[in-house]
Amino acid sequence: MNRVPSMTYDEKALASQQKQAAKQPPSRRRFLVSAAATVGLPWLESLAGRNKAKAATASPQRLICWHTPNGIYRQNWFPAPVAGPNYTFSSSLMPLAPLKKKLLVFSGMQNNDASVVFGSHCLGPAGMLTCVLGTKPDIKVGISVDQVYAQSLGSATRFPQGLQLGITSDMYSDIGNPAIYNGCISWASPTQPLQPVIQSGVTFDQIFMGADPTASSADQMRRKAISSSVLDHVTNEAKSLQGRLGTTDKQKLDEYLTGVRSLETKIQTMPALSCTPGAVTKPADTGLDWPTHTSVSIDLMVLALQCDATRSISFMLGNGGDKSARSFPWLGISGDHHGLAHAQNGPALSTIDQWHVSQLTLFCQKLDAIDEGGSTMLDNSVVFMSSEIGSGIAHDQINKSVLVLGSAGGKITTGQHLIVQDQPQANLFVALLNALQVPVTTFGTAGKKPLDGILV
Amino acid sequence: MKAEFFLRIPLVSLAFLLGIGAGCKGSIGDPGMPVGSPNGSGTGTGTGTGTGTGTGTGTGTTTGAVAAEPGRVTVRRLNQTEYNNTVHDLLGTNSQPASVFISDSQANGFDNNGDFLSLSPTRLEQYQTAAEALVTEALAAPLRAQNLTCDPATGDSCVRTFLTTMGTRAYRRPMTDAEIADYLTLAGQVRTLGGSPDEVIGAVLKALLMSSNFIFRPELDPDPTSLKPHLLAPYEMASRLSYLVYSSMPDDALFAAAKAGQLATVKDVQTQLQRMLTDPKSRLSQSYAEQWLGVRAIETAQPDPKLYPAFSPALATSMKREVDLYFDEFVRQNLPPEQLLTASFTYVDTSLATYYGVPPVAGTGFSRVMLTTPQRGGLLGMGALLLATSRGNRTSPVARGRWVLDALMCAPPPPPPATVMLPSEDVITATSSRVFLAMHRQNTVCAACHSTMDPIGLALENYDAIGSWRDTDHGMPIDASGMLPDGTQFNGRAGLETTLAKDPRLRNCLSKSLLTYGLGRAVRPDVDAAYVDAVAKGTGAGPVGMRDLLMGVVASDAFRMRRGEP
Repeated sequence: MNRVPSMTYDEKALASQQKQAAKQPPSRRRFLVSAAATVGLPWLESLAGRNKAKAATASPQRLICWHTPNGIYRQNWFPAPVAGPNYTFSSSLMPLAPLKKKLLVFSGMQNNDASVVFGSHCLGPAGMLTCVLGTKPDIKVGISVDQVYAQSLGSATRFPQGLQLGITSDMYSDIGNPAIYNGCISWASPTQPLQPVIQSGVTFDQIFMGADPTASSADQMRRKAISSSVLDHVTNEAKSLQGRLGTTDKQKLDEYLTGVRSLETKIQTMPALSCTPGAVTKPADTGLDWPTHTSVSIDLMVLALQCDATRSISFMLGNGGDKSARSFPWLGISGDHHGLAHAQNGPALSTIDQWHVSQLTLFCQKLDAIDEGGSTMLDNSVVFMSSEIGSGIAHDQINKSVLVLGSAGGKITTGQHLIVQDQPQANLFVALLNALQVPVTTFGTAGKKPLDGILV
Repeated sequence: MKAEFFLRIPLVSLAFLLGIGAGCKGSIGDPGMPVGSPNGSGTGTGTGTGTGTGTGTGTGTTTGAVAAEPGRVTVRRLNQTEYNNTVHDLLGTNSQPASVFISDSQANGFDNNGDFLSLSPTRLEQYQTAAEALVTEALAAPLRAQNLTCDPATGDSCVRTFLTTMGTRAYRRPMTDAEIADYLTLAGQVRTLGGSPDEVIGAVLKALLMSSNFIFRPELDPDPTSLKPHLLAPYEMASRLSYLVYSSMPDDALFAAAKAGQLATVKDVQTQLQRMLTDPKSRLSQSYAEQWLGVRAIETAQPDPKLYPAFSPALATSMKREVDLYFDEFVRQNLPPEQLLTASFTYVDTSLATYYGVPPVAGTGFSRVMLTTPQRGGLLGMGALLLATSRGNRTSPVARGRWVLDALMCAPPPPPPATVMLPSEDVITATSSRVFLAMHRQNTVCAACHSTMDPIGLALENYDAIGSWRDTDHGMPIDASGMLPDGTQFNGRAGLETTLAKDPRLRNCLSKSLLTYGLGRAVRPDVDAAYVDAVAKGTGAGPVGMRDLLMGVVASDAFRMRRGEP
């Protein structure tokens, strides 16, 4: 079962992965540039036909990670303790019933690396995808699973660091932890948070801007070249400034230089537009209510994946704790999530849990409706959902809510309920990364092997 | 039954909890309480440039025996507010491009802490996108005339003119010859690529706006690895002052003062501050006070519309504006900060006047009013604070008490043990807060902190979750009386405010908070205590006013000096 070579995640592995990713998919991009004017979206049947052999065996794999706040109400979340495919859906998971065959439900998963017994709504989000305990007051966590995958792909897509989406910019600090932990699950490095973009219009532009359809190709070439010159200029200047700074300031300039390099890469490799928004129009940047903001985000994520703008996305359906005074009028619930969790209001919490699951279901069904030449986009993806803590009252990291959908192209044994008594979530990430063809053997603090029982 | 759901704590944690309990001793309103003694009467700089206590002499008297340790300030990236204000002042735009940037995270209560202002590739891309849009806007009518004073067709001579004007302002200092030469090289490259004269100037402006010298505010040390303190360079000081007060780039007077070398002494710096605080460009209330008081995000609060139909985001905006204008008056009039809690004036617009039940005001804007109703007065009667400390469906006396201890006294109680079991929302909302919170007293672990927090919050129970006045809660008349563990008694908001205003921790806390904001770094509990004390003590004669505190901040060695980092 464990067919991956024994390798730790390192530079060498990264380089070879990047090479592989750059080769795949081969010339689709060039084709799409010319077809962009008339074609709505990639992966239409006509396109798949052009690329049939590759599409059937080598559809891009994607990783999408969802965060929901405040843990879950366990009594209505976990299926009865029957392992395997013949389990019965719990009420909170009921919306996922139509996707049962493509779903992995976990019981007993722990992520104790991320937090201590007295958990926190800050350490939890920071540790959810990193499986590392954050330090304070200085920021230091670990690299997150979505970023390991994104980095393994290199510049195969327009977003070498993937996309990060969120619903709220509210962040708070607890127990002296940096507030950034509260509002960020994606970490490019232990010290570099990748905060989610909240404004849906900005995400839309991230995906679709970069080309002026009215400009001639000569004009476009010239503009690209000028942009590159500007970036070269600011790079040289920043390097000269960096040489005159102290240690910490130098690191800040490193962040800047990494960003400039990423912009350079984008200019060099960016296709004019590999797809068009189709029926999706640019959403407003502000004023969206919570459920609308969520559904708009879902549409944007699907679109970004369809356009192959990125293969790695993280989505925060609320920040850690979500302590805002926000109630849930569309669910008929008054009171805020954090308060309800502390009060263990079972009916209300279960309703919220079920709503979160229904949104995940909606997203996955959209992916499942996209045919990629015999398999669906969901089949070729890994969708992971969890919360920053286990239970919203205990703030623990044991028996967490963990769902996985999709099989990374048939590499994961879905359709079962796995009871993994006290297995570290980091081992699940080793397995998921292996399924995504990233040959790691360790992850986070405690991940030492792929989790048993899920790799085909 | 009542107590059993309240605490389910593993035995192992008991010692931990008792330890926390010890951390909650202390009292409010005890004027005899020590606040820490300043380390000498000043913090001598070792370079003979000022006393550090704001006497305005700047003559080189060093009164303290301790060498200055200004601490290390990490290079600061422009945050969203600063970016919007800076491009407005630089280019004349009102487009506020940073409003859609990834939000800046707060650390130590503020969003201007260099250590925590990270720069991810996505954020840098947002700076790039903004720069491109700004170039287009700045070089088109109507802004073109003010931004471009030469004809781009004249080539390098116009680029050079542009750099000496726009470049100086963007870098907040004159550019060096080498920097100008590099920009001319860039201009030449763009020309070679076939760029039009406008594209050449556009590329230069885009590079300025994406430059690390623009996006960051670098401050340089003669030796970046040396711990030896030194005064900031004049232009660096101009930026520290302008970002402190304006949240933006220096104005013409600051540029002129920097050029003339008139920012070297305490007196120089204080003269500028005095001027700036009355300038309409001052953003101190929005950038500082709103964060200090935790009211910046109240528009996004979503109290249950069924329970609180009177609430609207527009009303929350008015509430926040009230806090801004109130704080501004304290700065402008140099009123004692203790009076923040007890003043009998405020600012209202039509909607707030109706909301507070005070006589209507004329016009559409805000008017200064004297409060005659006993229901309002001081910070704690303001809708913004009361809303910010409430839940979506009820008040939280605990949150309000905690807020007072944290924001006003800098003495936040430790968080509750994570396993504390609250009763269900039905139980909480089934009875009045006072009846419900009595449970805290039945448990010594809870009582350690809640015996201070709860009475403070209960004194504000006449204000519901959106700050509306109420006389009853669950049909029972509200009892807003309280007593702290040390025996101090008070009744209602006014009584609480009078008690808090006497607490010497208030001014110290405000001083610490102003220093944190002004320095853009965490205030270290040990090393920086002397700076905090010196600011809180003021300059000597007469009562210490809000402006005096700010004068103390800019006079401190921590503000005027820096050092490197090995």
